[in-house]
Order: sequence, then C-alpha cells, then structure tokens
Amino acid sequence: MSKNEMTAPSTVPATMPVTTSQANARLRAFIKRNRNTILIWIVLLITMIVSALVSESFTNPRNFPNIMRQSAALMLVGIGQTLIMLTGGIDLSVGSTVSLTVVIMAALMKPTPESMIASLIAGLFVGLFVGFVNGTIVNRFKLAPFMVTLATLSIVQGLALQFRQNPQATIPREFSPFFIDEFLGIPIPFLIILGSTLIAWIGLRYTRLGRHFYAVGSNEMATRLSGMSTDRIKLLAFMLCGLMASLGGVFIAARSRAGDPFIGEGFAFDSITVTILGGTSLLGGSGSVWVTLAGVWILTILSNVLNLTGVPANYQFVVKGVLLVIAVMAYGRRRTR
Amino acid sequence: MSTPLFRVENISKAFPGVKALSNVSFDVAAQEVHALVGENGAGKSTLMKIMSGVYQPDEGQLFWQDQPVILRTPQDAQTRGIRIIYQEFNLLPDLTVAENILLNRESRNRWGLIDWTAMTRRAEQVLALLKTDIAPTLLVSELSVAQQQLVEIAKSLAEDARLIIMDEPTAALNALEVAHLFEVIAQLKANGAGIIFISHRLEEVLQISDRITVLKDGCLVATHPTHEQSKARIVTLMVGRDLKDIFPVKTLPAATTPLLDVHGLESNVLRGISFQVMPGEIVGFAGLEGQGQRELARSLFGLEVVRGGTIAIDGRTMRIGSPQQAIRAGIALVSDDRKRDGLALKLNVRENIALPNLPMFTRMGFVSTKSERSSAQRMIDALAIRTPHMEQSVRLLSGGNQQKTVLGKWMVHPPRLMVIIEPTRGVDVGAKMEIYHLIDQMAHDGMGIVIVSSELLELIGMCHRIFVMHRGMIAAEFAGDQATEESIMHVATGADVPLASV
Repeated sequence: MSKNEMTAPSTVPATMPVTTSQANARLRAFIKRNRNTILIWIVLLITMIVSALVSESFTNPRNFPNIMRQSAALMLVGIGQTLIMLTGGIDLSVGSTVSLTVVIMAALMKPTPESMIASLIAGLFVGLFVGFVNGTIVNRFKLAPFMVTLATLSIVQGLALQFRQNPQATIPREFSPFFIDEFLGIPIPFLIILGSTLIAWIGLRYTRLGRHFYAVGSNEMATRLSGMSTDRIKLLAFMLCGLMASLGGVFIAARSRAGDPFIGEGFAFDSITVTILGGTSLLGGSGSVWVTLAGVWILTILSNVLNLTGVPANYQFVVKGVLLVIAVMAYGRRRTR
Repeated sequence: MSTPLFRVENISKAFPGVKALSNVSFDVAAQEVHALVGENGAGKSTLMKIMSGVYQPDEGQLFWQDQPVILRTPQDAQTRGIRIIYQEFNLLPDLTVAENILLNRESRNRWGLIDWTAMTRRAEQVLALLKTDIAPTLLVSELSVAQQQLVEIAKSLAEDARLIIMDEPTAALNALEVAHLFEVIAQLKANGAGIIFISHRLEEVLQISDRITVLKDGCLVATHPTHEQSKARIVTLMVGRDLKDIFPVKTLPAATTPLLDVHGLESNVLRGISFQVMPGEIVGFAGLEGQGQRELARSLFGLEVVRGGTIAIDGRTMRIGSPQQAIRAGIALVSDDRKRDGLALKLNVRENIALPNLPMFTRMGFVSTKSERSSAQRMIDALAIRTPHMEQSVRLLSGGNQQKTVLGKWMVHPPRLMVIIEPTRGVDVGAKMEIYHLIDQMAHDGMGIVIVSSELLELIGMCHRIFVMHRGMIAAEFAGDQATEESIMHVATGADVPLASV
C-alpha cells in the first residue's frame, strides 16, 4: 500500500460542526477519563475547608508561603517518584539521594556566586548518578527496582554519612533567598511547585519519552516488540527520578541550610504515599503529576494543621499511614474490577 | 507466482528437549494470503517467531525479496516491513488507540512536542481504511477484543507493513467480525501486502487463503494452492483423521424434569432470560460479541450482579451470589480465558486439579498429598491430559491440555451443571475432538451442559438446543440439528425475521 493512500483525506469525513450533544459527550468522556484527578482535587478542597474550620491559624495569610515551603521539596521528589512509578518501577533511594545532595552541597559551597552555581550542579549530578546506577543495575541484571533501590538507599546513605563535615557544614545564607523568598509578591516555592508540575506534565503528555514511560508501564513486552528500547526508557526514568530527588535536595539545602546527612529520611515513604494517594498505579501505565500535586498538598496541609492544633508529631505518622491505606483501598477496589 | 516477498529455506530450530522445526521451507509472495495450519505444537509459532526476528534459526537461511537476511531482533524485521500480530495482542491498555497505532511514530510539531490533533487525525485515517469507527481517543482497555484486533491491524497499516503475519486473528471474533476482517485482508492484499494467516478454523483458511501450508510435528507436510484443497483433506494432512469424527453423535436425553430452570434473569445486561436445561442435555448460546451470553454464563456462577429472576437447580431455587454458592449448588464454570480465570499458571497439573477440591483432600488442616495425587492421576488418565508427569507446570502444556486440566479440576467431584465459555478456544483439531467427546460423555452421565461459543459449527455440532442472544435477550431458539450458520447469524445480527420462518 502506498503512503498516499494511507493519508488520503477523502477517507475521513470533513470536520463536522460540534453539536451540543457532542460537547456533552466530550465533557463526560473527560470526566470519566480524569475521574481520579477530579476526585483527589475534591479531597484536597475538603481537606482545606476542614483545616480552616479546625484551626484559625490555617487561614492566616502567613501560612500560605509556609505550606508552600513545606511542600516544594516533596513535590519535586514526588514528580520523580511519579515518573518511575508510571514505568511500573519504584525508587526507594530518593531519600538518601536528597541527603547526599544536601551534604555534598554543604561541603562544597562558599558564599560566592560561582561556588553556589558549581555546588548546585554538583548536587544535581548526585541524583543523575544514583539514577544511572539504579537504572543500569535494573536493566543489566533484570532485577526488581524495589530490591535494587533498597540496596542503593543504604549505599547512598552511607556515602552521605561519609561526606558529612565535622563540624557539620552549613549552606551560606546567600543561597537561600533564590528558593524561599517572594517573586513579584508570589512565594518562590509556589512558583517552583507550579513550574515543575507544568514542565513534568508537558513532558509526560507531549514528548515521545513521556508517552513511552506510560507505554513501558502499560505493557513492557509489547513496547519492546514495537521496536523500542525499553532499557533506555527505564534508565532515563531512573535518571530523571534521581535528578528530581536532587532538585528536592537543593531546595532543602536552601531552606534548612544544614548539611544534615539524615535530612532526606522520610522522602521515600512520603513520595510514594503522595504518588499512590493520587491514584498512580503501582503497576505502572496510568497516573499523572497533577494528582501527585494534590497528594503533596493534602499530606502537607494535614501535617500543617496537626502542628497548628498541637497534635504530637508522632501521630502524624499514624495519620499518614491511615491515609495510605485508605488510598490503596479506594484505588485497589477499582483496579480489581 | 511472482518472486517471493519472504522465503525461508531449510529452517531447523531446537529447544532444550524439543525439536521445534526441522528442515522447513516456506515462502510468501506479495499480494498473497498464505495460510499456515497445523495442530498445536506443529511448529507454526516457532516458524513465525523466526520470520519476525524473535528467534534465530539453528540452521537454514532467510531471504527477503531474494536477498539473504539475518533478523537479529524484532526491530530488524520491522524496519523491513514485517509485522506480526500475535494472538495475545501486544497493545498498551492504558494508552489511547491513536498512541497504540502510532507508537514510536508519534506526530510531533515543530518544537518536537507531540501533536495530539495530528495523531488523532492520522489514526482516524488509518482506521477509516479498515472501515471502523473506533474513536482514536479511547483507551485500548475500553475496547472489545474485536476492536483491539482492528487496532493491531491499523498499527501494521500505519507502519506500512509489507508482510503481515496474523496469528489466529479470528480466534476471538464472531462471524460478522470475521467477515469484516476478511474484507480488510482482501484490501491489504490488493494494496500489495503479503499475508501469512495462521488459524485453527479451516473454513476460514479455505475461504481467505491462496495457498495452504501444513506443518506437523515440526516438519513440512505440504504446500498446496487452496483451490485444490478441501477441509477434509487438510484435516487428514494435519491429524490423519476424518472430519466427520470430530463431533460425537448426539444422543437425546430421556429426562423430562429440568435440571436447571432459569426464570426472568435480569441484570445490567440481561433482560428477562428464561430457559431450562435437562439432565444430559447440551444447550448452546450463540450471538455476536457483547449480547449478554458471557454475562449469562457468569451469572450462573455468581460472578455478575443479578437484579431479578430466579435460578433453580433440581426444582430448588438457589441464591447464587458468589462462586462458592454456585459450587455448593453444583455448578461449575470453565471460562474462556483459562490463563486468567481457569488455571494457576505458576502451579503444576496436580495442584491445579486439586485447587477446587482441597476441602475434600484436607484432614485436620493438612492436605493429604496421597488423595491429591490419586485424583490428579485419575483425571490425567480419564481426560487423556498429555503431560510428562503431574508435577509439570501447566504453563508448559499445550492449549488443549490446559483446557483439559481445567475440565479435570471440576470433574474430580462432578458438578450437576457445567457452564463452558468457548470450550475450544486456541485448541488444535485433535484436542478439540477429545474435548467434544469429553463434554458428550459428561452429558451422557447425566450432567447438564451450557456452552457459550462464538464458533457456530461447534454449537451446531454439539448442542441439542441453541439459543441465540441479541441485546441481552433470547432472540431465538433452534433445535440443534435444524440450526445452520446462516440461520443463527440472521437472528444474531438482529435481522427482523419471525421465528416461524427459520
């Protein structure tokens, strides 16, 4: 068959005017397709309303930049986790990657612009490298990402302790404003969150690589038989995930200004929680960064309100766990249909 | 015949313990449909995998347009325009139809970003060639099997495939969809493509192909022009048995009190289904895909939410809300997707047969391996399950033997009523015969049988009565020996014909 016949426009009817019923059908299809996203944003809205009711401080204007500062790093790491989980993988090493990034940046950074930029780049290389190692081992030896990244979690944590300075190094004061101040009256953490989400969304929806993440997660064998290198796609997913973890580390470094080798602890759990909270499938293939964003904010607002109302920090872990079980139940039910 | 598009010469391939192919030569020309037939294990899949770059031959040579080629990977084959459509589709369920069709050839705008409008348009154009109105924006997981098949074909069209290998393309299609597929194949052929058509359905092979090659036990039996062949001759070549022996002779049940009495069954799909099955009777359900036959069968096993109506066994109304209740009522279900519903693929033959019977084998919480083994052996013997030993993983059995294992599961303690969906899907002629005779034997022993099948000849050959379903209702009832493919299809497609005239 010739190419001409393939693209002959005569075979399709000319674009017809969109009638109301068609528009309705489209809206319905949109709602059906994006049910998860809509649902999780409603949950976020409810969380916000309830929070405002139980704590007056929640609605204090100073609390907004505060919540953004608390959620930016988690969103950056969460985007990475979402990418890797779309391919059907998981990355447990993101927490120690955050820590190692912070430790290395703290060790290297002097209060000069050149040093700040160089240290930042060095920090980002940490994540790229960890991701490269993760992806290569997973591909080369056909191992489960869960096991491989469990191993690198420990290795990278060890490196973070090794590179810790004694006395503990700090990040120069001059580095922080770029990440936590305001820009045109808008908190920069908020801009970071929106910007990274938008870029990730465009990347996932409008680039070949992004679609191939979904493809690999949906059916890896079919993707390979369609002539694509699934190893390359998975490697890139791990490297991007590592890079996002390091970006999270950069933000943490700017915010805490301490070269604490345990600062990233909890990011693996939290990033997986927010990804699952949004309904991104553990089996890969479906999900989006918008739902992860809602998940991040739900989790952050919950901690925020629990803090504001004086609930002991220990209970926050319980709350997170309960939330995770509820999310898994809600989505698991649908998947087994 | 012009010069072949693709030719393989003296191909041999061995796997540990099996000689899959020995010294097979085969070719396909442009504008030709070359059918490849043979029982399961005859070597068809191995040959196709060699021709599409998945396997490397141990011996022999491949020629693409008379030039020697080596296909190291599926990509190698694809770049030359060789495309294989596997029986188990290779689609991405979470992606849209358009993405699946244009996978790795996505439309991009000048910034390198995916142009969804153009993708949709291109996919629409390709789908229009197949005369289907599948919306490119749907997710593949939302499509029926027949639609997924069309998407697979659209995918090869979009890749400008020169040679399309179709492995059992009609296995999951009903008669109408098959007719549609054949139009598509004719069109592909007219456009210059070569097609290798692998099928168990010999009527279809005779109808669509130009030449037929028969493989048996890894060896080439013969290649003949189709017009010189008849179904009987092909079957003889394949199995060395006569066609009229395929279906057992029907014996009418003597009983007059119904074993199963379904009255006014209602669900999301079903609308007022009422019918009876006598002990020893084989009742068939025909219809286009999605008309409620599957749901009916699943309802009898407690797998669907039923809104109204009654199911009575031996005159007693039963509540059947779960498989447990169905099994207790004496109903068993053999699903059409044995790999998903019927078998625990990671377990062996013995364990699979034991699975629904474990309570009977258990003493004080411990499974008695002795009774488990003896009943497994009894089933292997009774159903002639061909397996080296009962510890063999079921995954390694042929389709026919897997199906017999599923039947064996239920026959350890025979149920009153056996519901079977697509009893012989993906099963070769020889095993089909054996399964038909097994089913006949069960009925003979007084069991009631309900068969849902898209293979009309199977229903006509096996059933005492055939119900045709349309839009969730029973549209017609035929006596088994009066039904014809034409008469059933007529009702199934919703053509408005009064019952009296059929």
